[in-house]
Amino acid sequence: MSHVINTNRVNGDNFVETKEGNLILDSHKLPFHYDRVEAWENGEKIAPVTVDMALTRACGAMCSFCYAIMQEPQERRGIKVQDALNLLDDFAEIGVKGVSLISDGESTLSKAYVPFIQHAATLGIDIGNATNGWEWKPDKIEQVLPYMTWVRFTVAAGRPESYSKIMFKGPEDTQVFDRAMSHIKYAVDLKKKNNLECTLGIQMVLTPEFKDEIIPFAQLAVDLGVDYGVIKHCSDDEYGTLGIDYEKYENMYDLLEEAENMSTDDTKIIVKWDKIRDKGVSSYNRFYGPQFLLQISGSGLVAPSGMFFNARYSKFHMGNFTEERFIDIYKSDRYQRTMNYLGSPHFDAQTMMGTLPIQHYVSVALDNHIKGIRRIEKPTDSEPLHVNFL
Amino acid sequence: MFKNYADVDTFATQEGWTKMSESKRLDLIKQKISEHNEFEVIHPTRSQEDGQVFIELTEELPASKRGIMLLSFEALLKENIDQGINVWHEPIDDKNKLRKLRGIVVKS
Repeated sequence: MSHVINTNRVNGDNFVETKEGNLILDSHKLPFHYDRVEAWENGEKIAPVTVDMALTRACGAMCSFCYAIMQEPQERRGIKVQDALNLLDDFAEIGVKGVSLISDGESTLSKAYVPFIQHAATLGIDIGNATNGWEWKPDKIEQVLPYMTWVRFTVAAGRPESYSKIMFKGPEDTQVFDRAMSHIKYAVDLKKKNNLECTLGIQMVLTPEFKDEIIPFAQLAVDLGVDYGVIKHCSDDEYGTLGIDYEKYENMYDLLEEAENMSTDDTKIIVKWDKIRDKGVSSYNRFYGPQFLLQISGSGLVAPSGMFFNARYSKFHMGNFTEERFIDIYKSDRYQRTMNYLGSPHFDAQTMMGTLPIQHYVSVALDNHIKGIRRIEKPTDSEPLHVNFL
Repeated sequence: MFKNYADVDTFATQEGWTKMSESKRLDLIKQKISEHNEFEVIHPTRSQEDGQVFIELTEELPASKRGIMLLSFEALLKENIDQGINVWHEPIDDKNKLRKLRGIVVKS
Protein backbone atom coordinates (compact mmCIF):
# COMPACT_ATOMS: atom_id res chain seq x y z
CA MET A 1 0.00 0.00 0.00
CA SER A 2 1.71 3.19 -1.08
CA HIS A 3 1.28 6.43 0.78
CA VAL A 4 1.08 9.48 -1.44
CA ILE A 5 0.98 13.20 -1.00
CA ASN A 6 -2.30 13.82 -2.68
CA THR A 7 -3.05 17.53 -2.75
CA ASN A 8 -1.95 19.56 -5.75
CA ARG A 9 -2.31 23.22 -6.38
CA VAL A 10 -2.53 24.85 -9.79
CA ASN A 11 -3.11 28.61 -9.83
CA GLY A 12 -4.22 28.33 -6.23
CA ASP A 13 -6.89 25.72 -6.94
CA ASN A 14 -6.74 22.50 -4.99
CA PHE A 15 -7.27 19.21 -6.70
CA VAL A 16 -6.50 15.61 -5.94
CA GLU A 17 -5.26 13.18 -8.55
CA THR A 18 -7.21 9.95 -8.61
CA LYS A 19 -7.16 7.00 -10.97
CA GLU A 20 -10.29 8.37 -12.64
CA GLY A 21 -9.20 11.99 -12.99
CA ASN A 22 -8.65 15.14 -10.96
CA LEU A 23 -11.03 15.54 -8.06
CA ILE A 24 -11.77 19.04 -6.78
CA LEU A 25 -13.40 19.04 -3.36
CA ASP A 26 -11.61 21.92 -1.64
CA SER A 27 -12.18 24.55 -4.32
CA HIS A 28 -14.56 25.35 -7.20
CA LYS A 29 -14.93 24.69 -10.93
CA LEU A 30 -16.03 28.09 -12.22
CA PRO A 31 -13.33 28.34 -14.93
CA PHE A 32 -15.03 25.43 -16.66
CA HIS A 33 -18.24 27.47 -16.83
CA TYR A 34 -16.56 30.62 -17.99
CA ASP A 35 -19.41 31.58 -20.32
CA ARG A 36 -21.72 32.01 -17.35
CA VAL A 37 -19.14 33.99 -15.39
CA GLU A 38 -18.83 36.32 -18.37
CA ALA A 39 -22.60 36.64 -18.79
CA TRP A 40 -23.00 37.34 -15.06
CA GLU A 41 -20.34 40.03 -15.18
CA ASN A 42 -22.14 41.59 -18.12
CA GLY A 43 -25.24 41.90 -15.97
CA GLU A 44 -27.18 39.13 -17.71
CA LYS A 45 -29.48 36.78 -15.87
CA ILE A 46 -27.85 33.37 -15.68
CA ALA A 47 -29.19 29.93 -14.89
CA PRO A 48 -27.46 28.14 -12.04
CA VAL A 49 -24.87 25.61 -13.17
CA THR A 50 -25.67 23.43 -10.16
CA VAL A 51 -28.74 23.06 -7.96
CA ASP A 52 -28.36 21.52 -4.54
CA MET A 53 -31.66 20.17 -3.24
CA ALA A 54 -33.53 17.50 -1.31
CA LEU A 55 -36.64 15.53 -2.21
CA THR A 56 -37.90 15.58 1.37
CA ARG A 57 -37.09 17.25 4.68
CA ALA A 58 -37.52 13.96 6.46
CA CYS A 59 -34.53 12.11 7.88
CA GLY A 60 -34.18 9.10 10.15
CA ALA A 61 -30.87 10.24 11.58
CA MET A 62 -30.29 12.78 14.32
CA CYS A 63 -26.77 14.02 13.59
CA SER A 64 -25.51 16.42 16.22
CA PHE A 65 -23.90 18.60 13.53
CA CYS A 66 -26.92 18.75 11.23
CA TYR A 67 -27.55 22.19 9.75
CA ALA A 68 -31.14 21.13 8.95
CA ILE A 69 -31.88 21.87 12.61
CA MET A 70 -31.71 25.52 11.62
CA GLN A 71 -33.52 25.26 8.28
CA GLU A 72 -37.18 24.99 9.22
CA PRO A 73 -39.36 27.08 6.90
CA GLN A 74 -43.03 27.92 7.43
CA GLU A 75 -44.33 24.99 5.40
CA ARG A 76 -43.45 21.35 4.87
CA ARG A 77 -44.99 20.40 1.56
CA GLY A 78 -44.57 16.86 0.34
CA ILE A 79 -42.82 16.65 -3.01
CA LYS A 80 -44.81 14.41 -5.34
CA VAL A 81 -43.08 12.39 -8.03
CA GLN A 82 -44.59 14.53 -10.77
CA ASP A 83 -43.41 17.75 -9.06
CA ALA A 84 -39.88 16.37 -9.01
CA LEU A 85 -39.94 15.33 -12.66
CA ASN A 86 -41.37 18.70 -13.72
CA LEU A 87 -38.57 20.36 -11.81
CA LEU A 88 -35.99 18.46 -13.81
CA ASP A 89 -37.70 19.41 -17.07
CA ASP A 90 -37.49 23.06 -16.01
CA PHE A 91 -33.84 22.66 -15.06
CA ALA A 92 -33.09 21.22 -18.48
CA GLU A 93 -34.91 24.05 -20.20
CA ILE A 94 -32.95 26.82 -18.48
CA GLY A 95 -29.58 25.04 -18.55
CA VAL A 96 -28.91 23.58 -15.11
CA LYS A 97 -26.15 21.01 -15.58
CA GLY A 98 -25.83 19.20 -12.28
CA VAL A 99 -28.11 18.42 -9.34
CA SER A 100 -26.79 17.32 -5.98
CA LEU A 101 -29.30 15.67 -3.67
CA ILE A 102 -27.99 16.95 -0.35
CA SER A 103 -29.66 20.01 1.16
CA ASP A 104 -31.95 19.62 4.18
CA GLY A 105 -33.34 16.09 3.97
CA GLU A 106 -32.56 12.42 3.31
CA SER A 107 -33.65 12.14 -0.33
CA THR A 108 -33.36 8.33 -0.42
CA LEU A 109 -36.55 8.24 1.68
CA SER A 110 -38.61 9.93 -1.03
CA LYS A 111 -40.77 8.01 -3.50
CA ALA A 112 -39.43 10.37 -6.12
CA TYR A 113 -35.81 9.32 -5.51
CA VAL A 114 -35.39 6.58 -8.14
CA PRO A 115 -37.55 8.16 -10.89
CA PHE A 116 -35.88 11.53 -10.30
CA ILE A 117 -32.40 10.12 -10.87
CA GLN A 118 -33.43 8.09 -13.88
CA HIS A 119 -35.26 11.05 -15.46
CA ALA A 120 -32.27 13.32 -14.89
CA ALA A 121 -30.14 10.86 -16.84
CA THR A 122 -32.51 10.99 -19.81
CA LEU A 123 -32.25 14.80 -19.78
CA GLY A 124 -28.46 14.79 -19.58
CA ILE A 125 -28.36 16.33 -16.12
CA ASP A 126 -25.63 14.98 -13.84
CA ILE A 127 -26.75 13.72 -10.44
CA GLY A 128 -24.88 13.37 -7.16
CA ASN A 129 -26.23 12.35 -3.78
CA ALA A 130 -25.13 12.68 -0.16
CA THR A 131 -26.83 10.15 2.09
CA ASN A 132 -26.46 8.33 5.37
CA GLY A 133 -27.03 5.18 3.32
CA TRP A 134 -29.34 3.60 5.88
CA GLU A 135 -32.27 3.12 3.49
CA TRP A 136 -30.08 2.86 0.39
CA LYS A 137 -30.62 -0.85 -0.01
CA PRO A 138 -29.24 -3.11 -2.77
CA ASP A 139 -32.36 -2.98 -4.98
CA LYS A 140 -32.32 0.82 -4.85
CA ILE A 141 -28.57 0.95 -5.39
CA GLU A 142 -28.88 -1.14 -8.52
CA GLN A 143 -31.59 1.14 -9.91
CA VAL A 144 -29.67 4.38 -9.45
CA LEU A 145 -25.91 3.80 -9.34
CA PRO A 146 -25.41 3.46 -13.12
CA TYR A 147 -26.96 6.94 -13.57
CA MET A 148 -25.06 8.78 -10.89
CA THR A 149 -21.91 10.87 -11.09
CA TRP A 150 -21.10 10.52 -7.41
CA VAL A 151 -22.47 9.32 -4.10
CA ARG A 152 -21.09 10.57 -0.81
CA PHE A 153 -22.00 8.88 2.45
CA THR A 154 -22.16 10.80 5.69
CA VAL A 155 -19.98 8.84 8.09
CA ALA A 156 -19.55 10.88 11.25
CA ALA A 157 -16.88 8.67 12.77
CA GLY A 158 -14.77 5.63 12.04
CA ARG A 159 -15.85 3.61 15.08
CA PRO A 160 -19.35 2.10 15.37
CA GLU A 161 -20.08 3.43 18.85
CA SER A 162 -18.98 6.99 18.07
CA TYR A 163 -20.81 6.91 14.74
CA SER A 164 -24.04 5.87 16.46
CA LYS A 165 -23.62 8.42 19.23
CA ILE A 166 -23.16 11.28 16.76
CA MET A 167 -25.67 10.22 14.12
CA PHE A 168 -28.30 8.35 16.13
CA LYS A 169 -29.60 7.82 19.64
CA GLY A 170 -26.55 6.50 21.44
CA PRO A 171 -23.35 4.42 21.32
CA GLU A 172 -25.28 1.17 21.81
CA ASP A 173 -27.33 1.68 18.61
CA THR A 174 -24.61 0.40 16.30
CA GLN A 175 -27.11 -1.30 13.99
CA VAL A 176 -27.21 1.91 11.93
CA PHE A 177 -23.45 1.77 11.44
CA ASP A 178 -23.61 -1.88 10.38
CA ARG A 179 -26.42 -1.16 7.92
CA ALA A 180 -24.60 1.80 6.37
CA MET A 181 -21.34 -0.12 6.00
CA SER A 182 -23.10 -3.05 4.38
CA HIS A 183 -24.73 -0.73 1.81
CA ILE A 184 -21.52 1.15 1.09
CA LYS A 185 -19.64 -2.10 0.53
CA TYR A 186 -22.41 -3.28 -1.79
CA ALA A 187 -22.04 -0.12 -3.87
CA VAL A 188 -18.23 -0.40 -3.95
CA ASP A 189 -18.51 -3.98 -5.20
CA LEU A 190 -21.21 -3.12 -7.76
CA LYS A 191 -19.10 -0.28 -9.10
CA LYS A 192 -16.14 -2.61 -9.59
CA LYS A 193 -18.22 -5.44 -11.01
CA ASN A 194 -19.99 -3.28 -13.59
CA ASN A 195 -17.11 -0.86 -14.14
CA LEU A 196 -19.33 2.11 -13.27
CA GLU A 197 -18.02 5.66 -13.42
CA CYS A 198 -19.75 6.83 -10.24
CA THR A 199 -17.33 8.18 -7.63
CA LEU A 200 -17.97 6.86 -4.12
CA GLY A 201 -16.82 8.71 -1.06
CA ILE A 202 -17.45 9.06 2.65
CA GLN A 203 -17.54 12.34 4.54
CA MET A 204 -16.85 13.27 8.13
CA VAL A 205 -18.24 16.57 9.38
CA LEU A 206 -15.61 17.38 11.95
CA THR A 207 -16.43 19.08 15.21
CA PRO A 208 -13.61 19.67 17.69
CA GLU A 209 -14.95 17.29 20.35
CA PHE A 210 -14.61 14.36 17.95
CA LYS A 211 -10.99 14.82 16.95
CA ASP A 212 -10.19 11.26 18.12
CA GLU A 213 -12.34 10.02 15.25
CA ILE A 214 -10.15 11.52 12.52
CA ILE A 215 -7.71 8.61 12.16
CA PRO A 216 -10.34 5.84 12.53
CA PHE A 217 -12.40 7.61 9.87
CA ALA A 218 -9.47 7.71 7.44
CA GLN A 219 -8.75 4.02 8.12
CA LEU A 220 -12.40 3.15 7.53
CA ALA A 221 -12.36 4.90 4.13
CA VAL A 222 -9.30 2.87 3.12
CA ASP A 223 -10.81 -0.37 4.42
CA LEU A 224 -14.10 0.20 2.62
CA GLY A 225 -12.27 0.83 -0.63
CA VAL A 226 -14.22 3.99 -1.47
CA ASP A 227 -12.58 6.48 -3.80
CA TYR A 228 -12.14 9.10 -1.12
CA GLY A 229 -12.77 10.05 2.47
CA VAL A 230 -13.24 13.77 2.99
CA ILE A 231 -13.08 15.69 6.25
CA LYS A 232 -14.77 19.07 6.43
CA HIS A 233 -15.60 21.73 8.99
CA CYS A 234 -19.03 22.04 10.58
CA SER A 235 -21.17 25.02 9.57
CA ASP A 236 -23.05 27.04 12.15
CA ASP A 237 -25.53 29.89 11.94
CA GLU A 238 -24.59 33.49 12.65
CA TYR A 239 -25.89 33.18 16.23
CA GLY A 240 -23.81 30.07 16.98
CA THR A 241 -26.77 27.75 17.54
CA LEU A 242 -24.59 24.62 17.29
CA GLY A 243 -21.84 26.18 19.41
CA ILE A 244 -18.96 25.39 17.05
CA ASP A 245 -15.66 26.87 18.27
CA TYR A 246 -13.63 27.42 15.08
CA GLU A 247 -10.50 28.35 17.02
CA LYS A 248 -10.22 24.73 18.18
CA TYR A 249 -9.74 23.39 14.65
CA GLU A 250 -6.13 24.54 14.67
CA ASN A 251 -5.31 21.99 17.37
CA MET A 252 -6.32 19.25 14.96
CA TYR A 253 -4.09 20.19 12.02
CA ASP A 254 -1.46 17.53 12.83
CA LEU A 255 -4.07 14.80 13.02
CA LEU A 256 -5.61 15.96 9.77
CA GLU A 257 -2.24 15.83 8.03
CA GLU A 258 -1.67 12.37 9.45
CA ALA A 259 -5.05 11.31 8.04
CA GLU A 260 -4.18 12.70 4.60
CA ASN A 261 -0.98 10.69 4.62
CA MET A 262 -3.04 7.51 4.98
CA SER A 263 -4.16 7.97 1.36
CA THR A 264 -3.56 5.03 -0.94
CA ASP A 265 -3.62 4.65 -4.70
CA ASP A 266 -7.26 3.61 -4.47
CA THR A 267 -8.53 5.81 -1.66
CA LYS A 268 -7.66 9.46 -1.16
CA ILE A 269 -8.09 11.13 2.21
CA ILE A 270 -8.92 14.75 1.59
CA VAL A 271 -9.17 17.60 4.08
CA LYS A 272 -11.08 20.72 3.13
CA TRP A 273 -8.26 22.92 4.35
CA ASP A 274 -9.47 26.15 2.80
CA LYS A 275 -12.76 26.07 4.65
CA ILE A 276 -11.22 24.83 7.89
CA ARG A 277 -8.56 27.53 7.84
CA ASP A 278 -11.18 30.22 7.24
CA LYS A 279 -12.41 29.52 10.79
CA GLY A 280 -15.98 30.39 9.99
CA VAL A 281 -15.21 33.85 8.61
CA SER A 282 -15.85 34.72 4.99
CA SER A 283 -13.68 37.11 3.00
CA TYR A 284 -16.67 38.47 1.10
CA ASN A 285 -19.52 40.74 2.09
CA ARG A 286 -21.65 40.35 -1.03
CA PHE A 287 -23.05 36.89 -1.76
CA TYR A 288 -22.82 36.14 -5.49
CA GLY A 289 -22.60 32.35 -5.25
CA PRO A 290 -26.32 31.48 -5.34
CA GLN A 291 -26.68 32.71 -8.91
CA PHE A 292 -24.37 29.87 -9.92
CA LEU A 293 -25.24 27.33 -7.24
CA LEU A 294 -28.85 27.52 -6.10
CA GLN A 295 -30.39 25.60 -3.23
CA ILE A 296 -33.87 24.15 -2.86
CA SER A 297 -35.33 22.72 0.33
CA GLY A 298 -36.94 19.32 0.73
CA SER A 299 -40.07 21.31 1.55
CA GLY A 300 -40.11 22.58 -2.04
CA LEU A 301 -39.01 26.04 -0.93
CA VAL A 302 -36.78 27.85 -3.40
CA ALA A 303 -34.36 30.22 -1.65
CA PRO A 304 -30.94 31.37 -2.83
CA SER A 305 -29.09 29.37 -0.19
CA GLY A 306 -29.86 26.67 2.34
CA MET A 307 -28.71 29.16 4.93
CA PHE A 308 -31.95 31.05 4.19
CA PHE A 309 -34.48 28.21 4.49
CA ASN A 310 -35.48 29.06 8.05
CA ALA A 311 -38.51 31.32 8.45
CA ARG A 312 -36.10 33.95 9.80
CA TYR A 313 -34.96 34.65 6.23
CA SER A 314 -38.49 34.81 4.78
CA LYS A 315 -37.60 37.88 2.74
CA PHE A 316 -35.38 35.63 0.62
CA HIS A 317 -38.08 33.01 0.01
CA MET A 318 -38.72 33.16 -3.73
CA GLY A 319 -41.36 30.47 -4.19
CA ASN A 320 -42.19 26.80 -3.80
CA PHE A 321 -41.92 24.52 -6.79
CA THR A 322 -44.77 22.31 -5.53
CA GLU A 323 -47.10 25.32 -5.84
CA GLU A 324 -45.84 26.77 -9.11
CA ARG A 325 -43.42 25.64 -11.79
CA PHE A 326 -39.78 26.30 -11.01
CA ILE A 327 -39.29 27.96 -14.37
CA ASP A 328 -41.88 30.58 -13.44
CA ILE A 329 -40.04 31.25 -10.18
CA TYR A 330 -36.76 31.52 -12.08
CA LYS A 331 -38.25 33.94 -14.61
CA SER A 332 -39.99 36.08 -11.99
CA ASP A 333 -38.90 39.53 -10.90
CA ARG A 334 -38.71 38.26 -7.32
CA TYR A 335 -35.93 35.83 -8.30
CA GLN A 336 -33.73 38.53 -9.76
CA ARG A 337 -34.60 41.08 -7.10
CA THR A 338 -33.56 38.65 -4.37
CA MET A 339 -30.29 37.79 -6.12
CA ASN A 340 -29.56 41.48 -6.68
CA TYR A 341 -30.21 42.21 -3.01
CA LEU A 342 -27.57 39.68 -1.97
CA GLY A 343 -25.06 41.50 -4.17
CA SER A 344 -25.92 44.92 -2.75
CA PRO A 345 -24.72 46.86 0.32
CA HIS A 346 -28.01 45.95 2.03
CA PHE A 347 -26.61 42.48 2.58
CA ASP A 348 -23.50 41.40 4.44
CA ALA A 349 -22.47 37.74 4.25
CA GLN A 350 -20.23 38.17 7.29
CA THR A 351 -23.04 39.08 9.67
CA MET A 352 -26.36 38.11 8.12
CA MET A 353 -25.97 34.42 7.42
CA GLY A 354 -24.40 31.26 8.76
CA THR A 355 -20.78 30.27 8.29
CA LEU A 356 -19.25 28.65 5.22
CA PRO A 357 -22.28 27.90 3.04
CA ILE A 358 -22.21 25.41 0.18
CA GLN A 359 -21.63 28.41 -2.10
CA HIS A 360 -18.53 29.46 -0.14
CA TYR A 361 -15.79 28.54 -2.65
CA VAL A 362 -17.79 29.98 -5.54
CA SER A 363 -18.53 33.16 -3.62
CA VAL A 364 -14.87 33.65 -2.68
CA ALA A 365 -13.84 33.17 -6.31
CA LEU A 366 -16.48 35.57 -7.68
CA ASP A 367 -15.64 38.18 -5.05
CA ASN A 368 -11.93 37.93 -5.84
CA HIS A 369 -12.78 38.12 -9.54
CA ILE A 370 -14.86 41.27 -9.18
CA LYS A 371 -12.33 42.92 -6.89
CA GLY A 372 -9.54 42.10 -9.34
CA ILE A 373 -7.66 40.11 -6.71
CA ARG A 374 -7.70 37.00 -8.86
CA ARG A 375 -9.62 36.89 -12.11
CA ILE A 376 -11.38 33.71 -13.18
CA GLU A 377 -9.97 32.68 -16.51
CA LYS A 378 -10.79 30.19 -19.22
CA PRO A 379 -9.32 26.83 -18.26
CA THR A 380 -6.22 25.47 -19.88
CA ASP A 381 -6.47 22.09 -18.16
CA SER A 382 -8.76 19.22 -19.03
CA GLU A 383 -12.07 18.99 -17.20
CA PRO A 384 -11.93 17.66 -13.66
CA LEU A 385 -14.29 14.99 -12.37
CA HIS A 386 -17.80 16.20 -11.51
CA VAL A 387 -17.35 19.39 -13.52
CA ASN A 388 -21.05 20.27 -13.30
CA PHE A 389 -20.99 20.33 -9.52
CA LEU A 390 -19.46 23.69 -8.68
CA MET B 1 -24.93 46.06 -16.38
CA PHE B 2 -23.48 44.40 -13.32
CA LYS B 3 -23.32 46.75 -10.34
CA ASN B 4 -20.20 46.14 -8.36
CA TYR B 5 -20.68 46.70 -4.64
CA ALA B 6 -18.01 44.23 -3.58
CA ASP B 7 -15.95 46.88 -1.78
CA VAL B 8 -18.81 49.08 -0.61
CA ASP B 9 -19.52 49.28 3.13
CA THR B 10 -22.71 47.59 4.24
CA PHE B 11 -25.39 50.10 5.22
CA ALA B 12 -25.37 50.72 8.96
CA THR B 13 -27.93 52.46 11.16
CA GLN B 14 -27.48 56.13 11.94
CA GLU B 15 -27.68 58.03 15.21
CA GLY B 16 -31.34 58.88 14.79
CA TRP B 17 -32.15 55.17 14.98
CA THR B 18 -29.57 54.00 17.50
CA LYS B 19 -30.51 56.66 20.06
CA MET B 20 -34.21 55.94 19.77
CA SER B 21 -35.82 53.69 22.40
CA GLU B 22 -37.05 50.30 21.20
CA SER B 23 -40.69 51.19 21.86
CA LYS B 24 -40.31 54.36 19.82
CA ARG B 25 -38.74 52.39 16.98
CA LEU B 26 -41.58 49.89 17.03
CA ASP B 27 -44.15 52.72 17.07
CA LEU B 28 -42.50 54.22 14.02
CA ILE B 29 -42.57 50.90 12.19
CA LYS B 30 -46.21 50.30 13.13
CA GLN B 31 -47.06 53.75 11.83
CA LYS B 32 -45.53 52.91 8.45
CA ILE B 33 -47.52 49.66 8.37
CA SER B 34 -50.75 51.54 9.08
CA GLU B 35 -50.04 53.86 6.16
CA HIS B 36 -49.63 50.93 3.73
CA ASN B 37 -52.45 48.37 3.56
CA GLU B 38 -50.32 45.88 1.68
CA PHE B 39 -48.24 45.37 4.82
CA GLU B 40 -51.09 44.94 7.29
CA VAL B 41 -50.24 41.26 7.92
CA ILE B 42 -46.85 42.27 9.33
CA HIS B 43 -46.55 42.43 13.11
CA PRO B 44 -43.23 43.81 14.38
CA THR B 45 -42.07 42.04 17.54
CA ARG B 46 -38.73 43.66 18.40
CA SER B 47 -36.09 45.96 17.01
CA GLN B 48 -32.42 46.34 17.78
CA GLU B 49 -29.94 49.18 17.73
CA ASP B 50 -28.01 47.51 14.89
CA GLY B 51 -31.06 47.80 12.64
CA GLN B 52 -32.45 44.30 12.98
CA VAL B 53 -36.22 44.40 13.01
CA PHE B 54 -38.04 41.13 13.78
CA ILE B 55 -41.58 40.50 12.63
CA GLU B 56 -44.25 37.85 12.49
CA LEU B 57 -46.96 37.43 9.90
CA THR B 58 -50.54 37.39 11.14
CA GLU B 59 -51.64 35.12 8.31
CA GLU B 60 -49.98 32.35 6.35
CA LEU B 61 -48.58 33.49 3.03
CA PRO B 62 -47.09 31.32 0.29
CA ALA B 63 -43.36 31.65 -0.33
CA SER B 64 -44.09 33.38 -3.63
CA LYS B 65 -45.76 36.24 -1.76
CA ARG B 66 -44.02 36.55 1.61
CA GLY B 67 -40.50 37.02 0.26
CA ILE B 68 -41.22 39.82 -2.13
CA MET B 69 -43.60 41.51 0.34
CA LEU B 70 -40.95 41.54 3.06
CA LEU B 71 -38.31 42.90 0.69
CA SER B 72 -40.70 45.70 -0.26
CA PHE B 73 -41.52 46.36 3.38
CA GLU B 74 -37.85 46.56 4.25
CA ALA B 75 -37.27 48.92 1.33
CA LEU B 76 -40.01 51.18 2.68
CA LEU B 77 -38.40 51.28 6.14
CA LYS B 78 -34.98 51.90 4.64
CA GLU B 79 -36.28 54.76 2.54
CA ASN B 80 -38.32 56.40 5.27
CA ILE B 81 -36.54 55.58 8.52
CA ASP B 82 -32.98 54.29 8.17
CA GLN B 83 -30.95 52.62 5.42
CA GLY B 84 -29.39 50.24 7.95
CA ILE B 85 -32.65 48.47 8.83
CA ASN B 86 -32.88 44.74 8.14
CA VAL B 87 -36.16 42.88 8.44
CA TRP B 88 -36.17 39.29 9.69
CA HIS B 89 -39.03 36.96 10.51
CA GLU B 90 -38.91 35.34 13.95
CA PRO B 91 -37.12 31.98 13.50
CA ILE B 92 -38.89 28.63 13.64
CA ASP B 93 -37.39 25.69 15.54
CA ASP B 94 -36.71 22.33 13.96
CA LYS B 95 -39.86 20.18 13.69
CA ASN B 96 -38.02 16.90 13.20
CA LYS B 97 -39.03 14.77 16.21
CA LEU B 98 -35.81 12.76 16.34
CA ARG B 99 -33.47 15.72 16.01
CA LYS B 100 -35.48 17.62 18.60
CA LEU B 101 -34.28 15.05 21.14
CA ARG B 102 -30.89 16.78 20.91
CA GLY B 103 -32.53 19.77 22.59
CA ILE B 104 -30.94 22.34 20.27
CA VAL B 105 -32.90 25.58 20.06
CA VAL B 106 -32.36 28.01 17.17
CA LYS B 107 -30.74 31.12 18.62
CA SER B 108 -31.85 34.57 17.61
